[in-house]
Amino acid sequence: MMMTSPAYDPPSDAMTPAEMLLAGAESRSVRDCVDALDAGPKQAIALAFYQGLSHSELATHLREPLGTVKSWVRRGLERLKTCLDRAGYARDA
Amino acid sequence: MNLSRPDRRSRLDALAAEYVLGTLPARARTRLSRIARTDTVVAGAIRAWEQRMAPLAEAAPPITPSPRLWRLIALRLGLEPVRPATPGPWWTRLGFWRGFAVASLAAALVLGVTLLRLQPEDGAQPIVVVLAGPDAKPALLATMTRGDRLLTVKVVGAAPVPAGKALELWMLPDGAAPRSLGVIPASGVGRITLPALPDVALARVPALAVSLEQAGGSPTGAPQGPVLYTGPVERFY
Repeated sequence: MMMTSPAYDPPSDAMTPAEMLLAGAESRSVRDCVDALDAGPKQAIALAFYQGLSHSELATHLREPLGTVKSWVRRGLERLKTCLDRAGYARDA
Repeated sequence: MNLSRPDRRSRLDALAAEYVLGTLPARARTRLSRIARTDTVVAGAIRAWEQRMAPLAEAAPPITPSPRLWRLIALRLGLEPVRPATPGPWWTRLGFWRGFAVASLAAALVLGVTLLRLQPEDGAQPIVVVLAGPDAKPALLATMTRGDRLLTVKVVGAAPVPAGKALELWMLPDGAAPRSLGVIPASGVGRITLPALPDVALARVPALAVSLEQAGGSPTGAPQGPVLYTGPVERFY
């Protein structure tokens, strides 16, 4: 088995994290809600979720200030929740 | 700070969201996880976020870890003894697991993903495990339904259990050590609560097994006594 560098190195034909986010959104409500996110928050959430990037790694990767990235994540998640809960998708137990 | 107070709801929700996303800093993460063990409101907020994110997790491509990485994961999770002095029990021998999809389990563990599937509209589809000994005669019957964490086990033909001993039920996950589901009665009907809904708890568990242990069950978390009965997990949906 091949051992590559520790950093995640997706093969070139792989989906981008943002594409995965959409592909994973199998049910219509999830897809709509993900799609409704602005580009910045969508990309930040996708990178954090699929590649495990931290806030500071996101800031480096996206070449944005740390504060901007943090607020993208926070606002993105808030919007996702509002949208999903409106669609009756998941509720707090 | 009491996170379960109603006026802290949005703060709790933001923390739970980043906990599940994985962006919560390590110390905050540890703290929240500790609180969630005793605070059902906090635990519920995390669970709700896991459900919201679960469909997204399914799009992640499987990544085959190197044997070295897989070993490190197994060690960290306590699935393997750190330094086996002797060849070790049957389930730690590699040959036993050859052919099982080690890679797929490892990928899920690497991603740290809780594959919480949404409850289907009809949760009544049955899952049945017929546990039998080497003679292939049914000894125990484990049944559950897809939408319920309750597993019912009925003794239908098991040999009598000696005094001071007990039967313990195990999940046999793909490429990993058995996980205890608890001690079951030697006769009659027993009930066990699964750690999650069957689709999650048994997602990568092709079979269950019953071993003979000391009264109260194996003290080590791994089967000590002989495995008496095994059976494949059969889903009727």
